[in-house]
Amino acid sequence: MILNLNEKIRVGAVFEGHWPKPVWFGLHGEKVLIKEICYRWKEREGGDMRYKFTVSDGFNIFEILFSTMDMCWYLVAMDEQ
Amino acid sequence: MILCMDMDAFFASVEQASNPKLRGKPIAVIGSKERTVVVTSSYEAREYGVKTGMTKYEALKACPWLEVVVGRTRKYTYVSKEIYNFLKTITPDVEAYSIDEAFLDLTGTGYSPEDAAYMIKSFVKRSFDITCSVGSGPNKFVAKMATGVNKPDGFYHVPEDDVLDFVDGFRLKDFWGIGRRLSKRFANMGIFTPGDLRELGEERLVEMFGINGTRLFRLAHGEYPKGIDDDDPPAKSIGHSMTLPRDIRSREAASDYILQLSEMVSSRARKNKYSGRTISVAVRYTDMSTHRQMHMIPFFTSATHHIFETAMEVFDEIWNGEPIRLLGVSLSKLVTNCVTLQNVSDEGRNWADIYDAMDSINEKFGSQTLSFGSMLNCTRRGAGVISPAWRPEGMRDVSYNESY
Repeated sequence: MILNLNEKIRVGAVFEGHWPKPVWFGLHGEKVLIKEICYRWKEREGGDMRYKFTVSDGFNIFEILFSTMDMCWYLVAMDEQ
Repeated sequence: MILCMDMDAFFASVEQASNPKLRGKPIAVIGSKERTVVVTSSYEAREYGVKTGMTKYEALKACPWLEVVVGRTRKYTYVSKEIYNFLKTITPDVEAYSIDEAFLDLTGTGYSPEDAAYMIKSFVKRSFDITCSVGSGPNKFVAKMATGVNKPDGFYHVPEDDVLDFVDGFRLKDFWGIGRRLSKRFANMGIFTPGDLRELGEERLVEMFGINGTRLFRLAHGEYPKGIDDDDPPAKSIGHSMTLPRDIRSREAASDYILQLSEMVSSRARKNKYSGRTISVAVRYTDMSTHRQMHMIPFFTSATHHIFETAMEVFDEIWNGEPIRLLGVSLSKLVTNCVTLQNVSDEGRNWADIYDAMDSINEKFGSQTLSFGSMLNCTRRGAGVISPAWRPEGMRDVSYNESY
């Protein structure tokens, strides 16, 4: 089931080259390690360039984004196993 | 030598690559609305008979365990643009035919079709974990037909000397450029193969189809007159249509949607500096019958209120009071960079300034950030998935035939 969350999250990421690479993120006090970046793409929302990722911790699929407007990370949705 | 690259079940493949849970499963990509249709289905779903254009319910009937995925337009356009940019590194002569299809002219590049196909296929696989099929031949028609030979994830090359044998392997109904109606007409005459068409002769074909007769005769020989069109051809019309969230029965409700469609059409026209003077409206009823009519106005315009007012006049002429399932508005007889006095000042308002302000705010903060108050009741634009006819560069030539 897909849950649309759109909440601000803390993310550990490596910034190298043109794309940030998320490594882990915090979810409800838990640290979720990203095992696989399944897909990444860019979206423009008006003046905001957003780097979007679908990532997996090995069980669930998450969609996270990095907004260049406010330089924050968001958890857009999660697809629970 | 011309190369044709065609993505395999593009939208569905991107979704499967994005979500490991969907890999290897029958999936169908749909628009986000309840009453939308299947835009693309995965190869696994196609085995169950799930086809483009089916409603969600028809698709689920054909394959009850089908995973229905709401399409993500921006993801597909991003992938398409990245692939298009890569193709441009192989040759500057690239024609983006649609969101998932492109033609390349390899003349003078030094690449053999095999080399170019390998480069494209490995880039697509490496970057996006999806596959494409590539065909090559002496012209666009042969390259396009060759693309389908080893689909999915295939490559097929047709040397110049083998063109006639190659086209003879197809039935006319499978020819690129021969539609359902035309192939039915040929079938009624007992003409099924390119050989039958050649036998009929050019003269007879010209008698029957005019200038198109020559084109058909050449096609039967595997010849195609047009080369790569890397300059986006000027649009002939700009149109939008939408299947409504629920059937509507009142003029007032229709008017809200027609205003929304008029705004979508006119903002696209203004963005690309087009003005038009023919406004068409299409109304589809619940029995799926579609009625279209157009009005020509005496001046060129890209103003929402002009398009809306004319569209409402057309709507009033064609609506028979029955519940409406789909509405469409389009602007045609287009010209570019036309200064229309009517836009500048009528009814004492400076519409040009109003539209300039609206467009610049919407450009900066996202579409429909600033819009008409009466559109508050309407569903937000961008909810639906884009048509595969969308082109990564420039304007899309939209006609009702493509949209419906």
